[in-house]
Amino acid sequence: MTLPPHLRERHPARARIEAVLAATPVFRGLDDAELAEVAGLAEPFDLPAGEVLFRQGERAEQLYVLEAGLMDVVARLPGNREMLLSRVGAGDVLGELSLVVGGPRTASARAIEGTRGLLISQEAFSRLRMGLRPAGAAVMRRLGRLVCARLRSRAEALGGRTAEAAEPDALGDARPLPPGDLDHLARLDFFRGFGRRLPELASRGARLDVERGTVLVGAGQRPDRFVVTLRGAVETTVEHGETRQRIRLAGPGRAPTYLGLLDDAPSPVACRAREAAHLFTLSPADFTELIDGHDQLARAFIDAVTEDLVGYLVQAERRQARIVAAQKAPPARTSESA
Amino acid sequence: MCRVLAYLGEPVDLEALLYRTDCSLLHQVYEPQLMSFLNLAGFGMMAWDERSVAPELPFVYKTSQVPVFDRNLRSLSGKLRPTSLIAHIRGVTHSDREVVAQTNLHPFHWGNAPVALAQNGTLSAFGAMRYDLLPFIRPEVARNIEGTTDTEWVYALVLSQLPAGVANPTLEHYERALVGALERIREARVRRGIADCSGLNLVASDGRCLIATRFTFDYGWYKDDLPSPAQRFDFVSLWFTVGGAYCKVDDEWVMAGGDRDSSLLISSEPLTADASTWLEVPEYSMLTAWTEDGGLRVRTQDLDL
Repeated sequence: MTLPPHLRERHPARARIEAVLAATPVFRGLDDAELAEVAGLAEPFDLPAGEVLFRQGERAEQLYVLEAGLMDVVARLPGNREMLLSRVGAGDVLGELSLVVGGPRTASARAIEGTRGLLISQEAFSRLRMGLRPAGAAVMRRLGRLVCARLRSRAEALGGRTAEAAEPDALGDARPLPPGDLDHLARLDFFRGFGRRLPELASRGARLDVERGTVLVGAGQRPDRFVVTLRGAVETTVEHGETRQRIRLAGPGRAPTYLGLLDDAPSPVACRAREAAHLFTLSPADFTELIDGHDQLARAFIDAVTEDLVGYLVQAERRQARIVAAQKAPPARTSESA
Repeated sequence: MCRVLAYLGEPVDLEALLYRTDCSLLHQVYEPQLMSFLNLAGFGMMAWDERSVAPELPFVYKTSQVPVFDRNLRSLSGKLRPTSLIAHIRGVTHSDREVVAQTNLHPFHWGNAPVALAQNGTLSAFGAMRYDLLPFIRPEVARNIEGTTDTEWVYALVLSQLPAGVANPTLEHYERALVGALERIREARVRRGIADCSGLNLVASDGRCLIATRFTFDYGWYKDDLPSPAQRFDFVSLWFTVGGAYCKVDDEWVMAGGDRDSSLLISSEPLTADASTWLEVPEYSMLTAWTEDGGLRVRTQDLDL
């Protein structure tokens, strides 16, 4: 959606744009040069109270940074019901996932008060990424961590616990990735963006084969490795009492063990092999080195992680919507935005 | 491959379900949203209407032609307001080895059988395991098999898992029959060493209840038939929406609210591009819906087979 001309603010000074961006979680920590690059993509907007910034189901094409005002973020449920996801204001960011994937909006945003801020289009941000600009990788890295924080919030809202640690199963030894697996890797979503650097990534990883039912991460534990499913499936579940809610089924080309690894805290979810599985694994040290790295392999890795995390979040939010819809009670508010 | 649609609840505009929305069932013949495949091998539906003559029996319409060109179907759908429905468009590999015929069209419903069944998905290497299922199919049921599709055998297996001589099976009977059929298939696959990913989303109805499975054997395992890079390794999809009635509100078809839930739609994919009022049926699960005290009840359970 492009805002009509009457909702666009006159272009503010570059210094003000940079100050607004620097105060938001997605762009905080960028150095001056990176911030200047991103500021060059930003356009101002101004929305009166009562107006809708974007609607659920619309194609997501912009990120919005709120400088002042107040907005409600709501998701629709079947039967004319709504789930209030959050109320956001100055310093908050909306639609940041649209910088990564251009799918339909997963929620609507409505101005409660007059709201102004900045928008960055997916198209402009893609140009930054495709040009391999440092700011593109830095923002993708920040987005990954933000999505991870939101996933943790969703898991905890569904009852995920970190207080009592459940032990994972003893896993067998990982072994070097068989050469024949490289062709298979290249067909999987997670690895598609690596191109010529895929053998280098593969050489840093290993393959681990697990039986159905194997617990890779116990709730309350920290994962001892990063995992991408090659064959089979690993489920990520929130467990409380006797009930177990699946928030992700990580089939081939999807990764289940971000929580606790990317945000360095006990995982609120458990990861268990739902099917016998062949897994690509990386040590936490290699994972961290790639996430914090600046070379081309690291950039491809950051992109792959962030894109996969966004898919994970979308899946988790669908699960949450189903659970709220089934409860038929006024949905609880969560503290994060859509 | 294939797409399925099922409904239980207030009388519903059949034409809307089949034609009017931007991702309606007939639209999915040539432009499904969640897979890249043309579903050209025919159409079938069974619709129950509590106000009709012999309401326990479904109205049946099947054609092995591409249904988007079928004027009779369009005309009929404009006149029908069923309270329960299973509709199915069949998709097969684009090969001369496939049999496109009336006998292979879903939903399947034989004689006095209490329940009808349709399927979305394919059992890998079914030819190798087909006759391993025969010992679990009652002879009087087996002799109804006319076609070549795996679904007809699954249907025979489900009917044979129902208690013999019970004219009106309960919900629990149906649920156990579906789970039992999946277990027998699992055993046959193990016996034959078949471990390829095989989705088997089943939808069964007797006009008074609706039971659907979203289940895949050996999800994520591909041996000789890897999906092409353009295809996905996704679980076979199944969605639902629940509310008061499926109707047009502010120019969009949605499941509108009401004092209580009384209608449920299940579909391989949402019937509208805006899927915001649709929910995913969880993977490895069975969803059961029935009417009780004038309202609709829905439960889901995990299938840990």
